[in-house]
Amino acid sequence: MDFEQNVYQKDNFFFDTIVNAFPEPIVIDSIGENGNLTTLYYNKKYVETIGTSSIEVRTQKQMFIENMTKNKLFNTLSSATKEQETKFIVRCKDSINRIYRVVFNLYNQKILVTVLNEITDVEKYRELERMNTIKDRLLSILSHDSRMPLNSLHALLDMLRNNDINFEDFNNFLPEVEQQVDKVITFLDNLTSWIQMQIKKGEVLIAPQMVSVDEVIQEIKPLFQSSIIAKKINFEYVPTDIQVYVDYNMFSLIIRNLISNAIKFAKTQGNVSIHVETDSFIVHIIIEDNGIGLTKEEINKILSTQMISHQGTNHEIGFGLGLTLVQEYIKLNKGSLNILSVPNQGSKFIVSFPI
Amino acid sequence: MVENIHHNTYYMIVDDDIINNKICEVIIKKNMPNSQIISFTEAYRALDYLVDTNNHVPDIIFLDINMPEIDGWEFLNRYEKISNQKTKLIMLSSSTNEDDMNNTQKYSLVKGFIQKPLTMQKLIQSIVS
Repeated sequence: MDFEQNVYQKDNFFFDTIVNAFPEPIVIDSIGENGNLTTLYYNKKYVETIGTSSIEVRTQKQMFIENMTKNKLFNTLSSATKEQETKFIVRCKDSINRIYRVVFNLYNQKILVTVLNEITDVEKYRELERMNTIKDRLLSILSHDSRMPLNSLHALLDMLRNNDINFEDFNNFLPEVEQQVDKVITFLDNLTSWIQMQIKKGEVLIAPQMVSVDEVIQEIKPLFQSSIIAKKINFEYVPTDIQVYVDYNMFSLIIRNLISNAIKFAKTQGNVSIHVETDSFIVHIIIEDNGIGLTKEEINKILSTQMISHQGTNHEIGFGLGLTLVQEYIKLNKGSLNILSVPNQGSKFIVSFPI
Repeated sequence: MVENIHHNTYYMIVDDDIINNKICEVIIKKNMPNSQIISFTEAYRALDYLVDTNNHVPDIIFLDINMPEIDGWEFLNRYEKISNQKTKLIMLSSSTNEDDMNNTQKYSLVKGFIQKPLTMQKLIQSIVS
């Protein structure tokens, strides 16, 4: 029986009834000699939700939007292995993006039946769950780690008041408290920026200007002084007159987080260095440490902006919040981030901005 | 001051947080002026001390969990092999993580878990229990 001629007929009542009974959008195409697709049939659900104009599809992995013809969609999907889950965000008729799992069935190499299974709710639920985990962890850091310096200060003041320690003792402990306070300040700054980004989703304002790299580094250096001293870090930085075209505050936060990370993962008495290089097109800011390094998987996780967290070699608080922000801000400023690392030898974070 | 109990107790504190070590010292000295205290900010030094049989064996060890290089767990793994069973080991940590609390139960030589900061009440409880 020839499917094309006999089963599919616009007035085939039997066929219509069955296909339209499905709650999923279904589209049937014929595949031409040259591989081009010609739509033979859309079921009712397809016409109602997606519409019959070309589908605007966004893959979740690549996050690009383009008007994808069904041809291209088919080619993209058929090049994927069968096991690979194919999820697409489809801009539907009502201008709402819905997430579909797309299943292809090939009949006789001639007919292509495509069933789109909407999984928007499942995906939204997963996203909510992920956000909820992130918020739980942020709250736990806020309520626990951020208290540490306060507890220490409180204990010291208490001992001072009760004459358990004298002023000299008290002074001796201040650098330790200062170091703890600095880390919490960095964390709170990151948190504030992150929350702002969450609230303003997609409409973060950036104000690019020519920024002196040296000015920023000199400004943020005091924040690390206590950690550098405590970990006996050899901090290497040669002042530079190079400028970049970026948002000042975002750039400052990027550099601050990367230096803070380098110190966090450097070994005691280890090295942390900042180099600024430029050719006529690009400025590279290279922040390097000889610390515990990262595995390939960890680098991939960082680049996929999944929040991962590691305690530093001196149990510095962390969360992955910093690196998530760093990447968002680099992207907003049209820069790029490269990570080179060898476990147990150290890491190199290279931030590049076009001039 | 706590009368009649463990006046001459020998305490060892293993924690990289110098402020906590000072708090412990102050509280112990205040309540048991005759007790002795030795503190280490690096766990490996504490282990070196414990291995050396010439050294006086502590009665109670307060051990932190989050420490650089050798952390509390690694300390326990190594200490298990040299422990004399007479010494009472108590975890003293700011951790509120349930996993940490559960993990300590795997070590038979851990006799308690105290949330920082150490107070007089917590100290007395830990030594009489």
